[in-house]
Amino acid sequence: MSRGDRVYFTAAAALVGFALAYALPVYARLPTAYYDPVARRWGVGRELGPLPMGYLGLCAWGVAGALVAAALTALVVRRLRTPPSERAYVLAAAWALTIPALVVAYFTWNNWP
Amino acid sequence: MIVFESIARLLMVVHGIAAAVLVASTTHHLLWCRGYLRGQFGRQKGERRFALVAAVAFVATFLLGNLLYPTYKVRVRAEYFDNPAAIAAELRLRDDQHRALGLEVTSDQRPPRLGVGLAWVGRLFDVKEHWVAFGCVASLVLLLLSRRAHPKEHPRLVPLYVGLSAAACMTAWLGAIVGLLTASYRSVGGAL
Repeated sequence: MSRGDRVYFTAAAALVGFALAYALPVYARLPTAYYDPVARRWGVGRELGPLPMGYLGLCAWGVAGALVAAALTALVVRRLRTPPSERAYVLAAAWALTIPALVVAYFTWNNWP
Repeated sequence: MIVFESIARLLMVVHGIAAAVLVASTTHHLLWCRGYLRGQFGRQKGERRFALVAAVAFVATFLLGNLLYPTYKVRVRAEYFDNPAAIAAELRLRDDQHRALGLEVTSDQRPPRLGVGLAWVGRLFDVKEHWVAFGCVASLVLLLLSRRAHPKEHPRLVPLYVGLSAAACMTAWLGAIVGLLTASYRSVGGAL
């Protein structure tokens, strides 16, 4: 497997990892980091009110998910002895584009005016 | 005092300029790489440059927007969009001034019923936030692929590459339009 192929699968996994980890704290009601602009302090919590900014916490979850997924995929593809099939490339692209689209649709649905 | 509120206007201007660069660069990138779907890689040099500009612009716009976010959240969202009484009071003042100027008051400038307001703009802004977070990641992955696994050398990457370019472009446009719409509400007026 060439370096370009390894980068491709790792990048696709990072996109999927970001999307899933970004949605996880909202979907599963997990605690997330937030910033309270009135109290001017950071904290960790769930079910935040209207003022605390949980958005930054979601981004942090997403980045962590992307890093974990990319690291795991990089480990796996490095051990592969045979090149991936054509179908593997198509599937990686499909998942990397579809999962983020679904997660964005989930947030759009939840916040739609 | 809210963090960065003292320089919020400056941040907003710079944020707007960065967003303009972002919209332009992501649109150019998509146009430059659409030929890859037909196996045409003649514009790859310029396309790689646009991938870099788009990623830098996306990160800069995203960071500047986050610096502005506390001020928006309190001064705009909580004190105005989610506060129908404030909107109604402002519209009454504008209505009075309209009459003082001898202008006819149009239907969208009349004070709304209490409870009717601009909360939907705030929620639309929330939708935009999530879209641009994903657009920012898409542009960074695109930059990585353009440097380490370009479709010219790896043609099987074309669908993901062009798909990410389209995603980055779409989110940049959506972010710019919703951002302008949000900022317009106190300047241009109207509440319904």
